[in-house]
Amino acid sequence: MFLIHHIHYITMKLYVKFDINTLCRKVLDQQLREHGLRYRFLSFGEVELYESLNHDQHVIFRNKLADYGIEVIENQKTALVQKIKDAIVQLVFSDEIIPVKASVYLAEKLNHSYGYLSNLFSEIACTSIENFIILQKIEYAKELIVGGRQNLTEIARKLNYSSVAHLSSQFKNTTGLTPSQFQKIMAKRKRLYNPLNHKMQS
Amino acid sequence: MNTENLRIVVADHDEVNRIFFRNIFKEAKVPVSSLEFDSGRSMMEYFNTISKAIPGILFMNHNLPGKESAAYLNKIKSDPEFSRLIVVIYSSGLTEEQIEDMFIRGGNIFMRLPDNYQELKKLLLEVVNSSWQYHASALSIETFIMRVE
Repeated sequence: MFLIHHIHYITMKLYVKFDINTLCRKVLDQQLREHGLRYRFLSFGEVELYESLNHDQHVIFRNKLADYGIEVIENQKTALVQKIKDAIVQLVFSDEIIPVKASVYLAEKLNHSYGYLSNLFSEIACTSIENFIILQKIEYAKELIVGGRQNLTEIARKLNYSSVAHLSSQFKNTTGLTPSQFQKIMAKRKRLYNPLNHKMQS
Repeated sequence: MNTENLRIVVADHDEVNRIFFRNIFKEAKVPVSSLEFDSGRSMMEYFNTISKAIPGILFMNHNLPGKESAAYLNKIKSDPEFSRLIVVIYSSGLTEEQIEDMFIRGGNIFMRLPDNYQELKKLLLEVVNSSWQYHASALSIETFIMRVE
């Protein structure tokens, strides 16, 4: 009788779940140590260095981190402007009505005076905070118009405009088109680029 | 926030327009770099040599010889690789129907081409500044429609 020996390779699958926060911190930790830097972690995505880097060190450190897909945001100013932008997006796209003026909201949230934030924003973002808020509101209005579930009266109310006329005039000032012209163009464009969609609807 | 240069490409057979545009772009307060082509064909050749998936802005004269601009607009807007490219069509005079048609084909901005330099500068910088906001904050290009006149 012959015995046939099979060699079994036991394979096994592992399912892993990442905690990006821990992962990034670990990588940063390692890299910062390797570069002999003294530092402490502040909030997520923020590291305080106890000494400043010269230009060459900065470039080397940046490139090293880039290998891990970590981007050093150019400097504090740009990072703060990004925070202002994020806060504005949150403010505009939030379903809650925030009971304070945008300037008060931003100053409290970011812990700087509004005057400082406003000047910094204009310098880096090349537009004012006020205009950026309007831009984001119009972006939201466009999204809702394209979504087609609400009419202009409802959209104006949702975005805190006193009337449809107010929304329409701000829309026109920003885009050069009225909301209904915009709606018409987007609907026709959809039909042109998604003919299948159109056939199914008609 | 994206603080890289906004890449500008101009396609215009009219040399005077190209020179005016080039000079005006130098006065933009947002960071830009620009390139010019004297035909739609050379513009497309350039796009084919680079990674198309770059964000940027294309200024195209509506009256390129042979009515090419509409064909190029279709080509660009039906190719997902160009999804971060803002397309500006300009002309000194288009009918309402022509403007609407341009938007429906996917054009982002219509700019009236004025006949004096100061006004051109005002309109062009307005287009560049607005586009830069979309570029810097990575806003949706798909619903970016604007008329600058």
